[in-house]
Amino acid sequence: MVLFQHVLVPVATGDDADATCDALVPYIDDIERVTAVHVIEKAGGGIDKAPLEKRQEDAAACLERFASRLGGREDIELDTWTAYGTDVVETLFEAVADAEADAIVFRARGGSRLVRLLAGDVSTRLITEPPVPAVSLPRAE
Amino acid sequence: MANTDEELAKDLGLVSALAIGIGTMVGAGIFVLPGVAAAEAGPVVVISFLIGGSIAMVNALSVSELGTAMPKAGGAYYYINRALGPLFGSISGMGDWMGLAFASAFYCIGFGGYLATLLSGVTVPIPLYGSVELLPTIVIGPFVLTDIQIGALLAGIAFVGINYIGAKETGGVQTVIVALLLAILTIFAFVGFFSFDWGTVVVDGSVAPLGYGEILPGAALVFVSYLGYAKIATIGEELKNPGRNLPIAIIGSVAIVMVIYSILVGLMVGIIPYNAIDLETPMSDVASVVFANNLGVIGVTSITVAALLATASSANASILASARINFAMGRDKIVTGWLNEIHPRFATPYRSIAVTGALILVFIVVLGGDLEVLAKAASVLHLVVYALINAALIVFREADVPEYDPDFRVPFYPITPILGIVLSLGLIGFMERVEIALSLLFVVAAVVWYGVYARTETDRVGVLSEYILSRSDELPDAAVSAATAAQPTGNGEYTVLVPVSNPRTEGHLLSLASVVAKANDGVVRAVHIVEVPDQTPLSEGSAHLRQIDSDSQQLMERVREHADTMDVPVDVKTVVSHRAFEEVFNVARREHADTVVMGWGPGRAWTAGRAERPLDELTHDLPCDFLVFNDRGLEPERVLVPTAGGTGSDLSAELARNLRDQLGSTITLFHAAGDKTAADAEYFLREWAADHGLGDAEMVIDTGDDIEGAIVDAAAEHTLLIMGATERGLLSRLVRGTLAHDVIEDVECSVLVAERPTGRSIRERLFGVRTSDTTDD
Repeated sequence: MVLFQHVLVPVATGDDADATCDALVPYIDDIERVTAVHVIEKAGGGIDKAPLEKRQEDAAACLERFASRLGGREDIELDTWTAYGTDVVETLFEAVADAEADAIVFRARGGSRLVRLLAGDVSTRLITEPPVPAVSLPRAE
Repeated sequence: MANTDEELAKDLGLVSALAIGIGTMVGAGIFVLPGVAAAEAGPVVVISFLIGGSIAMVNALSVSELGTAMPKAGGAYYYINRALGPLFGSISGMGDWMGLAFASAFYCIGFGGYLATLLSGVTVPIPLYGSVELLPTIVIGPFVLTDIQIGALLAGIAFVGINYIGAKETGGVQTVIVALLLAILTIFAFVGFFSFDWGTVVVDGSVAPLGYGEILPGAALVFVSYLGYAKIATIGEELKNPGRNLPIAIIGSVAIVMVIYSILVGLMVGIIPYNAIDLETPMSDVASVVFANNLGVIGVTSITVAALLATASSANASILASARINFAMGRDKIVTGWLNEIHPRFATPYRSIAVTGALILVFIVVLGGDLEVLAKAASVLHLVVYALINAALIVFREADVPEYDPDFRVPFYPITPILGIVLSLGLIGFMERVEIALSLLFVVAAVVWYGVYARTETDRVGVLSEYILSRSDELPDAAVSAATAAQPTGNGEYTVLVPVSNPRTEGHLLSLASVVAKANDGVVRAVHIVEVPDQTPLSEGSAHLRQIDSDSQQLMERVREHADTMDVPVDVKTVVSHRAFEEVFNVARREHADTVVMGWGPGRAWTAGRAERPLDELTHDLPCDFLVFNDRGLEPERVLVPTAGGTGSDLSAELARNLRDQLGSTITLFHAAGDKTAADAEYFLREWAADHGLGDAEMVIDTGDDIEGAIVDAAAEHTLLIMGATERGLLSRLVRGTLAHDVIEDVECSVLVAERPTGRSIRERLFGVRTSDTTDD
C-alpha cells in the first residue's frame, strides 16, 4: 500500500545521508517518490557562518551519498535539491510546498540538550509545526 | 522552487556589503587609536588619517578590479595565488590570516578597554575573601595581565564561541549596528562641534608641535583603521551582482570611513589637547567633555556602547574572513582540508575558527599590553599582502589572460598598481623594528611552510611562472630557474581519463588506459559522457537525469568487470552534457587528467563531425596528452611506431615503452630517410631509439618516396600502429575528417594517434578547475 506517494527527506551531512537512507529503506515500499533536500543556512544580509563554496561542495557530496546509498532503484523516483534559507526548518517547509510533497520524513539526530539548544532543535520544530504530516524515522537496526 | 535558486545563495546586496565594510573599519579608527596616535603625532594626526586612507584607497581600487574579475572566497589570497603562484600564495594567505588574527586581538583589546571603563568599580563579593574587581588586574611575578586584557580575553572567547556555534540570522543585525553607530557618531559630531576650540588644537603653539615628520609614522600607526574593506573581497562569492556592488562597497566604505575619521579626529584634538586624550578609551574621554552640559551620562554611555558594538563587529568580521582564507588555502592544498571541515551540527568551519581563536587569545595575552605592536603587526602583514595584490593585478594584465575580464578596471594603469606597491611597502618603512620583525617572522614561516608542506601538496601554478617559463628563451636565466625552483611538485595522482561514449563497446579503451596508468603508477577514471538534446535541462537531480545516471552506472560497472585493467584502480562516473566533444575537454581539465584515452570511429557522439564550438579553440590548447584509438581489436603484440623525431614522437615512444613493459609487445620503429642517405637515417633512428629507451626495438628505414604507402605496407605485418602527431592540430583535423592521405583508413590494424600539447597555456591552468559548468556533474 502506498501511504505517502511523495516524501521530502532532509539530509544534513554525509553520515546523516547514509543513516537516513538506511532508516528509510524498510518503509520504501510505501513510497513512490523521494525528494532529498540539503539546506544551506544563509545569514540573510550578513556574512555567512561558513564559506558558501564549502557548503555547496558539501551539499553536493552529501546528496550524492544519499542517492548512491539508495541505489538505482527502479521503483523510486529520486530528486535531490540544495535549498537556501535563513532558517533550516522554514526552508524545509518551503521546499515541501515547492516539491508538492505529501509528507516530510526525517531521522532525528538526537544529541544532548545543550547541543540541541545551541544547534537549534530542528527535529522538535519539524514535528511541532509541520504543514504536512511529519514522520520521524526509527533508527535502522 | 524559489528556494533552490542559485540567486538566493548570493544574498548580500550593496547596503549589506557597505555595512560590513564600514562596520569592520570604523571600530578601530575612532574608538581605539586617536589617543595613542594624537599623542605620537600631534594634532596633525588628522593628516595621518588622510594619508593612511589614501593608501588604502589606492589598494582598494586594485582589490576592486581583482574582486570583480574573481568574486571568490579568500579574496587577496585567491588572486595572489592565481597570479603569482603558491609560494606567494602561501605568504599572502598566511599573512592575511595572521594579520586578521593580530587585528582581531587589537579590536578585542579596544573592546576590553571600553568594557573596563564601563565596569570599573564593579566588584564581586567572594565569601571569606572580601570582594574583587569584576575585571581584576592579575600579576604573577613579572607576568602582568591588565583588567583591559582580561576584558579582551572574555570578549575574544565570546566572539570565537559565537562563531564556533554559529550565530543565527545575523544579517539584519550588522546593518542595524552600523546604522546605529553612524547615528551616534553624527550626534557626537554635531554636539562636539560646539565644544571645538581652535586654541585647543594649537595648544602648544602650532598644529605640529612634535614636527611634521611625525605625520608618516602616525599614518603607519593608524593604517590598521582601514583594514576592513578587503573583507568585502574575501566574501565576494556571497555578493549579489559583484561586478557592480563589490567596487562600490569597497571604494565607498573606504571613502565614507575616511571622511568620518577626519571629521571626528579633527574634532577630538580641538576638544581635548592632543597629549591629554585617553590612550585606551579616547571616545569616552572626549564624550564626557562634549556631553557634559547636555546629554550627560546618556551620551557618554551611548558612545561606550557604540564603541563596544564597533569593536565587536570588527573582530567578528575578521574571524569570519579568516575562515574564508583558510578555506581558499585548503582548496589549493596549501593547508590541510581537515582545518576546513564543517561541524555536523553547528554547520560552521569550527576547526578553522578554533585555531584562529586560539591565535587571537595568545596575541591578547602576549602582546595585549601594547596596543601599538598589535596594530602595527596587523598593518605590516596586510601591507605586504596589498603590495602582492598590486603585483598580481599587473601580472594578470600583462600576461593577457583571456578569462581575466574584470567589470571594474583601475584608472591610470599601470601607475595605480605601481603606486600601490610603492606606498604599501613605503609605509612599512615607518613601522618600528619589532613589528616588522614580528611580521617577517610570519612571512618566513609561510615560506618554510610552503617549502616543507605545501609545495608537495598543491598543484596550483601561478600565471607569473607560466609566463616566465613559457618565455624561457627570452628571459634571464635567473628568473627562469627561480620560477622552476618555486614550482609545486605535487600533482596528485597520475590520472588517465577515458571518456566513454558507448559503454558496451569501450572495453579496449579501458585496457589501453590501464597500461598507461600502470606504467605511471596512476589511476583510470572512466567517464561516461551522455549527450542529451539542448532542450533537456541539466538541472541537478531531475528524475530523468537520475535515470540516465543509474542506467549508465550499471553499464559502466559491467565494462569495468569485463575489461582487463591489470589491477589498476578504475573508477567510473557519468556526466550528462549538451555537447559531448566539448565535455571531453572540460572533464579532462576538471579531473586534472594527465592523459586522455578516447575512442574514434562510428557510434560515438563526438565522431559525428559536428562542430560544436570553434574546434580550434578546443583542440589548440590540449589540457593534457591525448591518445585517440581507432579500434580494430586490441592486440598489441607487434607495434609499429613511425617517427620523424621531434617532440611529436616523444609520446608515441613513451606509449610503445609502456606496451612493451606491461604487455611484452615487440616494437618496430619506422623512419623515412627522405633526402638523407640510408646510413644517416639509420644512425638517426638508432640515436633516437636509444634516447627514448627503445634500443631493443626492430628498425625499418624506408628510402622510397611514398611514405604513407610505406607505412601502410609495414602496418600490414603489425597489430597496432602508433602515429605521433608531428604537427599541431591533428586532433582537430581528425574531427573534421580532413586528414590528408588518410593512413588511418588505409591500414587494417588498430591505430593509436598520440598528441601532446606543446606547452600548457596560461588560461587553462588559471581557470581550469572550477569553471561555471558545475551543473554538468
